[in-house]
Amino acid sequence: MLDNLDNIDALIARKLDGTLTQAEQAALSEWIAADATHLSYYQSIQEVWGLTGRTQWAPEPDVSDNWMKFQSKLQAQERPNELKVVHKANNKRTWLRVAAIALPILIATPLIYNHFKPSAVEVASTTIRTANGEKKTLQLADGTTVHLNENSSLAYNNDFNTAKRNIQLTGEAFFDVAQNDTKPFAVTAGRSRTEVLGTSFNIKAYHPQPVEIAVTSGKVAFMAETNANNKVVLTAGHKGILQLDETITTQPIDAPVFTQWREMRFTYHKDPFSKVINDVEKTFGIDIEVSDAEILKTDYNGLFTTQMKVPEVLEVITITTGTQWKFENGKYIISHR
Amino acid sequence: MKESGILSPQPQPATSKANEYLYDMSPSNEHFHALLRKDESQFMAALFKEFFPLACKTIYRFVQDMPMAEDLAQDVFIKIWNRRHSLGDVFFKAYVQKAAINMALDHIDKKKRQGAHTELSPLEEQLPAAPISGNLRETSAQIEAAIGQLPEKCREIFILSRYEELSYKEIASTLNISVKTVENQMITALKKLRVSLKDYLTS
Repeated sequence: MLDNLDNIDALIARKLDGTLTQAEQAALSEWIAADATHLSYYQSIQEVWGLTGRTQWAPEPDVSDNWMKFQSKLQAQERPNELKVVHKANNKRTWLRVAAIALPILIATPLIYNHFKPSAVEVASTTIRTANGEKKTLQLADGTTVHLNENSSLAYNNDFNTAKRNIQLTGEAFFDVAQNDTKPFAVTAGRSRTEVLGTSFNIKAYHPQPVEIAVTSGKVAFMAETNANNKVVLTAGHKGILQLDETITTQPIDAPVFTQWREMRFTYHKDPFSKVINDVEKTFGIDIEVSDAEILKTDYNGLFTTQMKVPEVLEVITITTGTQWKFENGKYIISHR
Repeated sequence: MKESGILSPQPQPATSKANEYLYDMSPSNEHFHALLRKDESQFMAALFKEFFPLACKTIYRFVQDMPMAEDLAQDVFIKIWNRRHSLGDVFFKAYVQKAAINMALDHIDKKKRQGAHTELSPLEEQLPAAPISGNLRETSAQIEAAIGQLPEKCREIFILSRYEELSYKEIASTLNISVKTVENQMITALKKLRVSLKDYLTS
């Protein structure tokens, strides 16, 4: 029968594709019935198929952010001769972007535009990005050190440090800013803007979570990007959170900041689910609503790490408790399946 | 091979398989065509808003790198914009999906050609910790990691079948290989996954 395995495999594959003929189906059924090992082979392949189908494993992109970058690319395409290609020797993922210039102009405008007119000023920019699981440490022209966490990108105009020091961040980074009282250092991340002279701080801006800044030395001004009046001044040991409704809240830092995203692992053995929810909320800075208090009382066994993304963590904790999750109105909701 | 493939004016028949389940709440395909005739920019904004996540997720499954997937997905829409005058009567959802698949496959090909310093897949570097003794029955992260470790062609074919829901025939024509090869690679993928995901299987 083993000689036949090639042929049988083809039939099993076709079965999954839905293109098995009646005769082939009969042959397959006969083969399965012939021996218990056949049945278990067939079942295990079917089970792998079923298991892999339960996940879609792709994060949700930020459509408005990408729309802005798309528009910048269009502008670049329409004015190719004004652009200068920047090549970072050690990084093949670094290339010219004009996104950074266009962002501040476009950030407050709605998604639907009536035209794609290029903006007046165009300066070449550089983007540095990190992949899933990848981290980078960079030194900028002004001597500032940046530790870039995974799935993040950092962009600056190539005139960085000539007159101003402006950075665009998506994702998370720790900044150790070189002191220069004449050139303020400003980071735009999500809908937030942070201005400093010389200090160190961590910014976390993974869409769609609120933007969170934790200051570890010196003093920073933290504000909504579109409204500089909505501003707080934070000193070392404090963090500020720009909530989704654009209000800013402050609180003392309650956990090591930079070390946190390097690797933290939470494991549970027969712990109440409420503890897990609490940890996830605190670690990722999100709000989770649980629809039924009974869910909170169930025992939980498992783990998550700070290297995982929020959807991954939620997927893991809901699958293993027979619940489900969704994101609605800036909040994650867990309910019975 | 795919560079000129899908995005060249090759209208996708409006009777595509995607048609059957797609439009409950979303704008209809005809709506996009009407918008394109009326106002190109509005058309582009609406198309982007509707299908960017689809393109981005499709690409992400192949490249497993979110900033890169976003970048490539933006390029998909740049290409569509550049071809807006020759779109014919395409079925947009299927068109965007195919363009995204080709963009991802091209990217992988290019990366391979650059050869020498191809980075280790991040998943090989840092597999999530092993599940705690049988309690975590399944996690997306583990499944993603297991798929990430399949041989490249095998992985592409598996993703196209399992997540992009292409038929073997469609996969064969996308990758320029025979249906027989697709069948073989699918079984190879499933057998390998059966081993790497054995902790999550009951049989």
